[in-house]
Amino acid sequence: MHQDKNEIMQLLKSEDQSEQREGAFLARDMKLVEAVPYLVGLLQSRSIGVQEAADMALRKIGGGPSVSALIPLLASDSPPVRNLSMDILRHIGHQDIDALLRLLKSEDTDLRIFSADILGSTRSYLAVAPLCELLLKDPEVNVRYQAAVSLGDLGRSGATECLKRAFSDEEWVQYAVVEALSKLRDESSVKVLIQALGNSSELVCSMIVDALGEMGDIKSVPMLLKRIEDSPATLRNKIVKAVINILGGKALTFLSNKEKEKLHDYLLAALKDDETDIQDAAILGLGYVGGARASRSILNTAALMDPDYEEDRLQKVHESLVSIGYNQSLVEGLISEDETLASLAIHALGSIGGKEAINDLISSFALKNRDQQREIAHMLHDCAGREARDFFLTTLQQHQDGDVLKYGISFIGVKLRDEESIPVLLRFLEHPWDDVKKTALEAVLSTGGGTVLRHFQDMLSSTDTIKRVMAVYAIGRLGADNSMETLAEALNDEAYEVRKIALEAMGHISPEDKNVLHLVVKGLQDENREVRRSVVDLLDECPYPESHSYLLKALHDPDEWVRVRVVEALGRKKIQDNIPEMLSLWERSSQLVKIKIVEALGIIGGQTAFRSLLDILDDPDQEIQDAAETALDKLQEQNMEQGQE
Amino acid sequence: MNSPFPKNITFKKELKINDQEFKQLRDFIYEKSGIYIGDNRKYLLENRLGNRLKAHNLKSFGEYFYFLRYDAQRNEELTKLFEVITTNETSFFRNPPQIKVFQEQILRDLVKTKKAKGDKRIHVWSAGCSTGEEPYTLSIVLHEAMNYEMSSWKIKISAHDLSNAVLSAAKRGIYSHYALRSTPPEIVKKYFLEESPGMFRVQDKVKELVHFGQINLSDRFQLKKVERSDVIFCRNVIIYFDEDMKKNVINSFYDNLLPGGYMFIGHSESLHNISRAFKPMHYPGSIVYLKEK
Repeated sequence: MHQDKNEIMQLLKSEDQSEQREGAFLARDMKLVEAVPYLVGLLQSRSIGVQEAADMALRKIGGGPSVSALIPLLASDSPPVRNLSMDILRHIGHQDIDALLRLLKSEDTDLRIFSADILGSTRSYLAVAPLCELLLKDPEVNVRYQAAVSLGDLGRSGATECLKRAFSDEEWVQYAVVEALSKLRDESSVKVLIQALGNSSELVCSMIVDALGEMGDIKSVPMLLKRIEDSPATLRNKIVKAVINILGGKALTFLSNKEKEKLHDYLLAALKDDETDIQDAAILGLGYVGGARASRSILNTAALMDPDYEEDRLQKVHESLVSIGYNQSLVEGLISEDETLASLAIHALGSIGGKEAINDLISSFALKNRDQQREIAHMLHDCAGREARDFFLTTLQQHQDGDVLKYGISFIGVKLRDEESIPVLLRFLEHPWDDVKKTALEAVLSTGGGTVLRHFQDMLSSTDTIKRVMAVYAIGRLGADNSMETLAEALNDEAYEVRKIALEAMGHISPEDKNVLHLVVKGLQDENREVRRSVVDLLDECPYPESHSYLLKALHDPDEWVRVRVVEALGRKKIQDNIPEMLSLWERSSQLVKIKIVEALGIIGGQTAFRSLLDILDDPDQEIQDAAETALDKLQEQNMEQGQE
Repeated sequence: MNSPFPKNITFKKELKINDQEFKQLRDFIYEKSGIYIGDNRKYLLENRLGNRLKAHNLKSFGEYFYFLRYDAQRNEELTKLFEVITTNETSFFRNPPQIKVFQEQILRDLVKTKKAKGDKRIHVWSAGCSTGEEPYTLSIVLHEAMNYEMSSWKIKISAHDLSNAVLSAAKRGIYSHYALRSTPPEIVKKYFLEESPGMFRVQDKVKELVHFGQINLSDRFQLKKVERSDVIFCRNVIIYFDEDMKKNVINSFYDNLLPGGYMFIGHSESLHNISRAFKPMHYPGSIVYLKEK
């Protein structure tokens, strides 16, 4: 919707709030700098709706004029107006840094705090030195505090030295200094924090420990471990968390046995901390220095977690339990009535595997509810071998649940390839549920053999189309000697689904067999377009020149997507002689086919393609022109590359 | 043959969306609907659109992009696409605490205020009405609340959605038992007719209040054409938008609301960082956003 600037200004000057909002939105859409003074005025409107529209507009328009116009509002008596202008300036302040730096010299303490705050959001290195000066020299503690916070927000390493010197300031400033250094994340910041750890108050130490843990520098570990013994319980747990965060679990295995033992106790204690991130660090650490006692403690902690909201934490529990390995605590968890505990134990035992774990899972199966039976079947499917064969065969006879059945079918057929059980598996091809049927199909095909082949050959004469589709697919997958004859017959099936899968099967068995070419091309006359598309896909992959003439014939197919695929195939074959035939389609073609022709010309290349694309540039359709331009660019690039070579 | 099973049996590789195809489709969907599919939802797009590719026997998501842009059936397909990407579980009387607040607090106050002014018109807007469960629920609530006074008021519910397919379903007004799972049995008896076992048709008196129409919430100028409302329901719709679009849409709702009007958004949605213009009103189990006079 086109709007005149004057109309927008009139709307902004209106007394009506709806018109003021409309003016602000239009000024925003046009990025109208002339509107800035009015928009700044509207920020002070009593209507929050009007303020908000002006706010959105000023953020979008931005620039020096907006920054300069907003700065006076920082001195406003109205806190909402001050806050609003601060917020917008945090967003656009970087567009006029000088104006903000001048404000640091203000005699008004609040203005110095505000400008320091905004400078922290600018990401500009120009703000570092002035903020350092403020941190070290400003007489007001709140200004110094804000300067430290903003230096952290800027995240530039040039600030480390002045932050270090600020450790001699009041504790209130030290908090901000620790946070700022942790955001800088460079080596010198770590050094400064480690030095400060030795002579800071307990509260500052606690912050430093958190910061070092997050920064993850291995050099801080010895100092942290040194502090651990003399620290009260809360700080000790934090140190444990920091050490685990820095070292990760694996490195703990390099500690001496004595150190491990000591850490083991600290980790068990940390597991009882109220903070979940400390618990998580303990769970991770115990995974490497664990044992049955650790497994039990971890399971007890996990039992209190919410499976819906703490999925990530439960995953960490799982990893730790697996890392600790098989023990009696897991067996107790497995038979527990607590579902979270039992589920954790099922997954851990399944991932650990081994004879004992598998036996425990099998013997608990009958005692569990449907969901846990699914989990057990899943785990056994993944971890067990032949020792679970009888269990799964019994389950296939007795169970009704689709998921349990699928695990059983897949285990017997895909994993064990158990030929003796083929009759059991074949029964499931008749199952009423498609997903079970599909799993059974995959299972019997993985097993293979004469019985399976004969079964599918018999199935070919079924009156049920689904069975004939399965049979043709199976014969294609099994790829027996005489299967080409069977598939050729299937090309005459009354159901197009069967004809289509027969074509795909032929391509699968013998993609480079010339006889296949002669068998499939009659499919170009098929009444069903999906069958014809499949033929074109086969011709596209066919390496013999004979395929070209069939593709050219298919160019005149009544179905648009058959023609699209033919054009794409001709493009990929890069035969310049095919261009005139392809272009003969042009006048009768839709926009889609034309664009595909243009793209194919770009791929084929050569003089004819180039000249044709130049002609197409005059096409009245803008999208076709654009496609031609892109194709020409591509050709020119290719020519240049070839020239350079 | 009704089973989709044969279509799943194929020698073709499973359809996967590559980065370039995802970017093309994501930008296309954003351009057409304002709905932004974040990178973390790439696989959601792959899963949800997989059936569309199978329906057209397309080989890749790249082909689907061409289909959407150039095929003769592209407009119909666009509707299907919107339907697929905005599919959201809905039902009658969804989130009962919100409906209760609407009926017992908002509507009661609104009627009282309007009566005092001698104004007997109410306009409720269901923006993002999907298959019609929400606007019909609102119509039922209005019938229940106004009772015998209904005929003396001029009440209208405008119900909009991006997808024409869901609007067609909404206009038909026939629902399965599942859509009525949160509806009190006495309400089902009073406002629905069981046409066939498990299938229920909304009664005409419920339908009469509701006026359906297609709208693209990303188009500010389309939204300006909607009659100004006393109450707006836009639940579980803005979740599909990026932050800028959320701000634009919510500001358009603000402009549409009459002073003193109320807006309901999804119970898990919030206006935090989107708009300060509304006054949040806390009711049991629900927050309603007021446009102050």
